[in-house]
Amino acid sequence: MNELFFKTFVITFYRAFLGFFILVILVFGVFMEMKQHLMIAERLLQNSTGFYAILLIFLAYTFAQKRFQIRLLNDKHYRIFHQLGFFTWPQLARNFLPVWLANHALILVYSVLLTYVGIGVHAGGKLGVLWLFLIGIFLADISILYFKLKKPFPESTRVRPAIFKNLSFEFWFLMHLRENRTLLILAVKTISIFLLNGFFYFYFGGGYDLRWLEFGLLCAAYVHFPLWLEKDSFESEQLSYFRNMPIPYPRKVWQHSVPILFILFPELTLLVYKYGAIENLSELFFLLILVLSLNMGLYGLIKLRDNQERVLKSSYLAFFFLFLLVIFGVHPAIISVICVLPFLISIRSGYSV
Amino acid sequence: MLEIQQFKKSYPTGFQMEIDSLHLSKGIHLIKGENGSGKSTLLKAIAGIHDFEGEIMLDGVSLKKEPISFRKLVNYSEAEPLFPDFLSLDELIAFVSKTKGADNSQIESLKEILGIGDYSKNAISTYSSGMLKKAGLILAFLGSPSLIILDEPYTTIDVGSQKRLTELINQQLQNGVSFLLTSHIADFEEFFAYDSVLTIADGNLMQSHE
Repeated sequence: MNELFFKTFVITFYRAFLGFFILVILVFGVFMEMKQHLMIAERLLQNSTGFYAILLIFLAYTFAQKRFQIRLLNDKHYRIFHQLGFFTWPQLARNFLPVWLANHALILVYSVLLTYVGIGVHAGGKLGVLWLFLIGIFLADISILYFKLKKPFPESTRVRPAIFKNLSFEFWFLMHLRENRTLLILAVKTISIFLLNGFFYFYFGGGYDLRWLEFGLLCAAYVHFPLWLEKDSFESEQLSYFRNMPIPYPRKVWQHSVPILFILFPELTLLVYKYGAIENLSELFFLLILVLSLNMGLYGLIKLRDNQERVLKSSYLAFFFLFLLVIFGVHPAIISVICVLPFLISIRSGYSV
Repeated sequence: MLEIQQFKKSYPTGFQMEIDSLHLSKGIHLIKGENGSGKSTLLKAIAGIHDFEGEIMLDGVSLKKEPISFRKLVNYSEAEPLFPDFLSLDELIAFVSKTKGADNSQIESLKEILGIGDYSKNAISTYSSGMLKKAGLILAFLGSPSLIILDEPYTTIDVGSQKRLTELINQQLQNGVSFLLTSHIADFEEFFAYDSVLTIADGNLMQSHE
């Protein structure tokens, strides 16, 4: 039974939030060292605001996990699991404890780190609060599930507000992100903006030229990698009906460019806000074009490759190639043209959306 | 056996279904109606899957007051069964057996009747529509329910399986299990000696020979 629950409630959870977990690994695993983690953990345990903020983040994580689980149980394919309602509370808790532990591995690992540091700095009180809090969210999690399973399913009939009645093709991916990948889009945007702010901070500190900002835009484009993977998988799986439709090429370019433009709106705004002085207008124009083209190029590269391994290899190579172009001071307009090419090629086929 | 009072179900699309009062005795009952008339809506409400206004009681157990006890008495096979496609039928059977209390001999006998064979080890994603239907039917017969609801049970399954399913339903009827069936097959009324035939049209119910 554990294997069945693991397949159904754990693998699906990690699959749905894969992009988020990749970002967590990148930011906390690649860009940060153990020394920094220990230092931050010590600060958090010595500062009450920081400590309670961490508890709040844990709560947000557990809420996202629960929301996903409930949406899964509301799905028609998972209707059979309505029968979990026949379990008593202790039976449900026993069966779902491994699922809960697996799905909360991230916050549990961080709690172990906090405990390790906390013992060293004699923060016994806070550690007690932390573990009681974790037990509390486990009990609340099981209770929510227990009471949810007693109730009938919500109706699947969904009537959208009138404003969405004629939602055009260009906005379908954005709607998909809003409905099904809320956490992913939020995490990508937060990290991307945070990263670009960092690049601007050092740029305005002096000692760096425009290539530094171009490199920042390249990094920010790669932060969007999970989003472009999601766009490609959304189009190949959920929009497969629309393959081979007689859509003119310029129309296809428009249909792909609009959602990319909307997704990159915060970065474009940030660029205009930070770099929008009159004397920089020409540079700003090319930087704006570069943001769009880097992301379009990355998306085109993903779309051109038919398996994930090749996507990753091509992306690594593309990153280093573009990095060299930036380092050697190639004009952003030329880099933009190079980047837009894979995008334009990838959508030319009548057999792709 | 089954008692429905002041039943009302409305959808935001404007579709509405109302049943003032309905009593069905133990036995087998057929529900007829055109596509979209509300048959599946009624069946899903009786199976405790979707909410409704009013009251449904089975063997004196109220769906509103004791939903879990009620749902334990009812098994349901959908017209188009859907399951997570990465699971195998054996895994689903193991889960339902645990919740509904079925033993190995019952599982093996049902697999044989419906001609599942070794397919049950494969992932649902590899199943044809007929195999998927059989999977839904097997799960609907597990345990010892008081009422089995079968929505379009004969659609997509082969003729041999249809015959064996008819025998299985008759055998379960003799064991005291009641059935609610729907079908679009033209001569379906001749398959069983129905205790009543219900016709649904535009959300309204008409009952004959109860």
